[in-house]
Amino acid sequence: MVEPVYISAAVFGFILGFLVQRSRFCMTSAIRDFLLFKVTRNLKMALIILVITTFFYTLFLTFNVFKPTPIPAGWFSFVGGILFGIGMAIAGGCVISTFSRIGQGNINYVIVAIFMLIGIYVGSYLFKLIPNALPPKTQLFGYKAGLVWLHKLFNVPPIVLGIIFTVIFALAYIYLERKESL
Amino acid sequence: MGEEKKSIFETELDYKKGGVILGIMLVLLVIPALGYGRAWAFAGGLRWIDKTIIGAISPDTIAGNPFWRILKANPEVALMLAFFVLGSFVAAVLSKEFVIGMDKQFLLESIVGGFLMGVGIVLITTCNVGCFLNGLPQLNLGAMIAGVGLIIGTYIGGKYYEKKVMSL
Repeated sequence: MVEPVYISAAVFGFILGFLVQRSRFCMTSAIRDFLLFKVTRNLKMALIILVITTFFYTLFLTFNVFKPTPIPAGWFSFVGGILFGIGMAIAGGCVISTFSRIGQGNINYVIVAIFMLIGIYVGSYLFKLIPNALPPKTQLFGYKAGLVWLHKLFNVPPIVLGIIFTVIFALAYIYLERKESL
Repeated sequence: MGEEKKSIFETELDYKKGGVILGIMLVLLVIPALGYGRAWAFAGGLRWIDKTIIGAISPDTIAGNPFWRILKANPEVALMLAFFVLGSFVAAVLSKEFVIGMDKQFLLESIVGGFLMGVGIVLITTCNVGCFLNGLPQLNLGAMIAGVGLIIGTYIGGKYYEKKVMSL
């Protein structure tokens, strides 16, 4: 019998793929179009998603509904972010739009995906070359592997900071909407 | 002659509706009772595909590198990725936007861009979705640091992309 997690992954994957294709959502375009061309369509969409997810994720974390995703923090996060950012901007799409455009028949993004897999393989050797500088051997604020969540750092329930972040994202969205309607 | 009426599948989802529906979907995704029980990211699936292919060709390579032991490779995420492509394919076919094509002028950018994204995934331990739509709403510091890097990197890469487009 197929485990529920596989059925759920397939169903959610299909719906998300469908929605992303129809809504043209792309994180690269959200950041790039705003920074370079002051076009805010995808940024506003990302902010709407963040308003909803931040409120509910922090609410759920407060009541231990699901386990938080462990993303380590350190110099490698920043360097990795820059490399990833350059990569997605010159490739013309983030991970979401890369796979969405593969579904649309764009061969360039098949090449992007293949080289993404090659990049992961080559990059994996960093763990052999500099093992003590990468997770899980790093520490940050006393947390192993730099697994730091702001609510743990400030010792408050997740929803408290969640509401603050939700309001910030909502205000950013309202600001962009009002600025454009003037 | 009047404008031909578009079917529901041919109409683009506007950003407000799209944002709200995607946001709700991402909330449903983390509810354990619905089967998946974790937030959206594709890195674990990409690691699984890599690990499976490399493991089949050279098992010693996997065994001798701590990366493949430390970071999880998730087959269910790889399955989600496959169905994500399928969902996009069906949407593209229904909206009559499915076209097989390639822009040779951006071949080098596709290669270098994909490679840099792969190395970035190793260092961040997740992808940009995992960073912005998963770690950030969970108030994860690693996602926030990586997010700053992603914005800087996108600006640098975006400037290059802009120059390239202008030169064509």
